[in-house]
Amino acid sequence: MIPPMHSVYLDNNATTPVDPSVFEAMRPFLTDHFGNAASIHGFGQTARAAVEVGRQQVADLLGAEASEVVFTCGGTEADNAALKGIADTRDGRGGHIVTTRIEHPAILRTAEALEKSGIDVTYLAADESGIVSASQVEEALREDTFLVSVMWANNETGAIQPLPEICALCKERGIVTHTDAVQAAGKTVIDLVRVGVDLLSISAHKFHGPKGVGALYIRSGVQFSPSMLGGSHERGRRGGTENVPGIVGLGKACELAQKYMSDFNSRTRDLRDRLQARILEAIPQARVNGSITNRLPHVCNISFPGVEGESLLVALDFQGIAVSTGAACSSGSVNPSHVLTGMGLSSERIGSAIRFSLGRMTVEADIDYTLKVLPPLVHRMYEVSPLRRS
Amino acid sequence: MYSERVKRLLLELPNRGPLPDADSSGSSSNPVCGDVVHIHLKVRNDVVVEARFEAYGCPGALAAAAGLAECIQSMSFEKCLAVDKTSLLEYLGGLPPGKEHGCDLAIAALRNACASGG
Repeated sequence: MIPPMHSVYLDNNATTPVDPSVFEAMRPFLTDHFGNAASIHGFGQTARAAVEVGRQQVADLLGAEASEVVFTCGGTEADNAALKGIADTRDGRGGHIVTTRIEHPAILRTAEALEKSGIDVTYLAADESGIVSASQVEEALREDTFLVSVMWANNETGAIQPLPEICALCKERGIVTHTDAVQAAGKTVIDLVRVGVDLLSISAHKFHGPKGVGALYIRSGVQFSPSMLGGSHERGRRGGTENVPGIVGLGKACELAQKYMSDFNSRTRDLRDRLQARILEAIPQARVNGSITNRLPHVCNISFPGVEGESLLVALDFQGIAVSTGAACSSGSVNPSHVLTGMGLSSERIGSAIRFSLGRMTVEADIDYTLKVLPPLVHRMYEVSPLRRS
Repeated sequence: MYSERVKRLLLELPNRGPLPDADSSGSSSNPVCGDVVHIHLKVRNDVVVEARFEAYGCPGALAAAAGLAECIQSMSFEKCLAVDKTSLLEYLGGLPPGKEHGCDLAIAALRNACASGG
């Protein structure tokens, strides 16, 4: 048995460590600069200035205007606010939304709630590569379709959706578009001029910022009805005292993501590709899930048919390696990933899926160690599996 | 969390694999979650001289099957039949909530093996 001397974090799509520079930027706003950004006095104005710097940093990362950025408490709130905020402008006239089966639950549960209020929703299936095509979206559109929400990149497979095409065909028809870019922001270039999406959600903790803060981009001119009611914060688009330290952290994380974008892309792609290639080489039964050409640079999702994913995850964890899985078993029932299910993968493939998501802090030694530990563990599990033996 | 014994069992999976000249074998499965456990026994004079297991399933199922195969080595048939969920959990040092059902599978497989060889 290899002693667990290492600590390797390959679950960066779940969350990322806060960058030390982000923490240092936030610190004064947790101590000395505690003012309410809505206050007129000096304490408040110091906080207000910091919030506006953060807003500009977010806007710079997205290629947006600062006035188009609304702070939220994270990606889930941003997704909720986007869908409800557009649906509410309908004033109860019903209508139709198009989204996909591979969205985050923040979108799926919100869409289901809107269905109960009389809005029709079409949930498009992804193909085996984890991608929903623009033609699928086009075929689903109706006369009364008012919103299309398709994620930028999938959290489990990293598969990048054809947003420019989807947004272009929606724009021709005057349909508002939203994208959940929580996994994409800070990891791939978000070019709102090229993509042309109307609303976009991000979350700080996915790219080395703090938890509990995110943002919703709302293109200037798009009609939006706030769901968080209260004061006139965020220009009336989201009530509630701004999370000043969080916003400062989000802003700094955006600045750093932009600074390291090119390096992050090339370095994590190299590491990810090496990890994937060596796994496939060492374990012939392994299969990659989702597109291998059109995906985020830091993600790979691999199934080991015949091995139970959660057992492999726990065994890796015992050796100090953190990954995530496509299904979880609790008290004798399995909760399979809705994403991999939505791609039409077999239950054996879903049940054995492991997601490796690298981050800015991932180094060569992390990959070396994982490649040293993983294959023998999988081979042992194959030896014990009545379903498949190597 | 998992005990040190469960960690060792899951990482090493001792006594794993089929037993070609087994005197008796028994299986049990959960059709809902798909977990399955096989227990193979080699027996001399009503005593288990070798036990092996095969298993597919969650960490609880693998650890329970491995733990059971380990703890019944050199055990009499009579004592094997007396192994229950409480004693297996005690041997494992416990399992997290939601993972204890693996013990039921392993014990059912053992009892089926004892019945087929008895």
